Amino acid sequence: MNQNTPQSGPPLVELSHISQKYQTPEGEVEAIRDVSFSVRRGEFVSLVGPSGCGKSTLLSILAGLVQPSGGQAFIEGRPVCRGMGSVGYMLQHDHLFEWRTIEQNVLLGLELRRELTPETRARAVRLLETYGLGEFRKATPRHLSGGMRQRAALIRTLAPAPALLLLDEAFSALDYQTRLSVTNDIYSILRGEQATAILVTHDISEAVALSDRVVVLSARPAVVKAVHTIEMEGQGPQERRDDPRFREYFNTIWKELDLV
Amino acid sequence: MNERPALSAERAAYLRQIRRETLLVRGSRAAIVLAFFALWEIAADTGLIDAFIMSSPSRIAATTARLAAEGNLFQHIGITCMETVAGFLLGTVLGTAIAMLLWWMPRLARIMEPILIVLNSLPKIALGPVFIVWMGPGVGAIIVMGLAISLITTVLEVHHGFAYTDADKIKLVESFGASRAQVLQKVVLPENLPTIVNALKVNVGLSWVGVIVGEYLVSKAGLGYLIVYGGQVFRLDMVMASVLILGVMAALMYLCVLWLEKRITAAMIAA
Repeated sequence: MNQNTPQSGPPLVELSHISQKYQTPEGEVEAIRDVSFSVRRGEFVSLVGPSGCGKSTLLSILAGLVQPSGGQAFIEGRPVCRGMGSVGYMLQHDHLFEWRTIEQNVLLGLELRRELTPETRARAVRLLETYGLGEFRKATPRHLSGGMRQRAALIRTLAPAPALLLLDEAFSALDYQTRLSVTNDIYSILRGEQATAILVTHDISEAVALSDRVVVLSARPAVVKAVHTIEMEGQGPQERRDDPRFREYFNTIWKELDLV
Repeated sequence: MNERPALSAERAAYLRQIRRETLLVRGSRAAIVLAFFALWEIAADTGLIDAFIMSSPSRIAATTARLAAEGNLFQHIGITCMETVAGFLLGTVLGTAIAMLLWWMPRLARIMEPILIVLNSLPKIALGPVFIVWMGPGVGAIIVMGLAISLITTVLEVHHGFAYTDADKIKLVESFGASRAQVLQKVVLPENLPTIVNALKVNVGLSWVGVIVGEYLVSKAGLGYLIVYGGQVFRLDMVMASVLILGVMAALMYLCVLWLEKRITAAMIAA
């Protein structure tokens, strides 16, 4: 899998001095303070931090759904704005629509962006077939297991060929066993498609198992506490979990979170 | 799923028991209805109840047959049904449309909320005279009555469903760059179809009430008219016959809506 290591060159994603404040009737909440980091093409970066620290808000900013109160986010050198359409978002629950077949669910993004052509449809169907859901094209979501549903949700996200994938606690709603196998699945799909991804998680072992780099955020207001390069390139999540260095990374990050 | 293994003895016994249970429930149900009519007939025949006031199944049957023979019974039934269908369809469609508008403009929804709640608690039937003056004494006023009684509750019910659509589902389609119209079309409406169908089911019942009251007030035809007319000329057989027909029609219409609900659900999955 070494051919999929991150490429050098200009960063695909750039967060520059992002800060975020909320106004509520009770007062002002400072959620994010001066967060900067970048992600290279093909890289898998995880954001870990205590709950409620504004990790998910960072993803919403990258998706153009939330305007930061300060700073600017760039994807492929262009400032992020609403509906620019270069990101795919995956949430904690698969949110497959029960009234659509798996194929119709997967085509949702293309349909909304009015990019549904015979070519893009063929690409989406090919993704379904490559990742073992070919025979479920005409099935409704209720006929799929939790792991398969999450895989279908990932293919829905990948179908419009986004430059960047945002995974917001994408595995936390699954039971532990399913979660391990889905993590492996998703890892190989993302590597296979050479996707760039940012994963928000509160699960340190998941972050270490999947990422090229882990960004540790502090409690609110979130600042970048540390960035770890996980030097286990070319190893899948399963191999990494068995690697002695896995514990070291885990413990280091755990302590950084604990200090908060 | 395709092959059928031989049933085990336990399974066969279980299935037999289920069938017996169903038969028992249905049989008892029919027996209760039959017993009710039989007792009614006997009580009327023996003078236990006054057949002039309470009527009796045989008198109702005779009256119904006479009304049918006179030729305008089906016209009365048809008019009432038409008014009812118009009432609940208009109530559901207009109510859903207004709910969509309120979803689209959350500020308007906030402004209107207490006003709608007050309107909802107002007995709409009290507005009957206004509708009659406005629409003229006829079918129009009756349909408006059937509509008025179901409109506000539909707006409140459906808008509540719209407003509480899973925020993450909306976030998902917005991350694909969906416009507000697309959010409405692809998520909010399909997600709330069960709510709308449920409102339709409630509105069928409400609309019958509105239409019958409307017919009491102004009509020259319809089952409500027959009831009022029968009462005025002391032909209580006619009143009872009309009430009975009304019950049957209401039940049939409800079954139609249930059938429609099944079709919509099936179509949604197939589409």
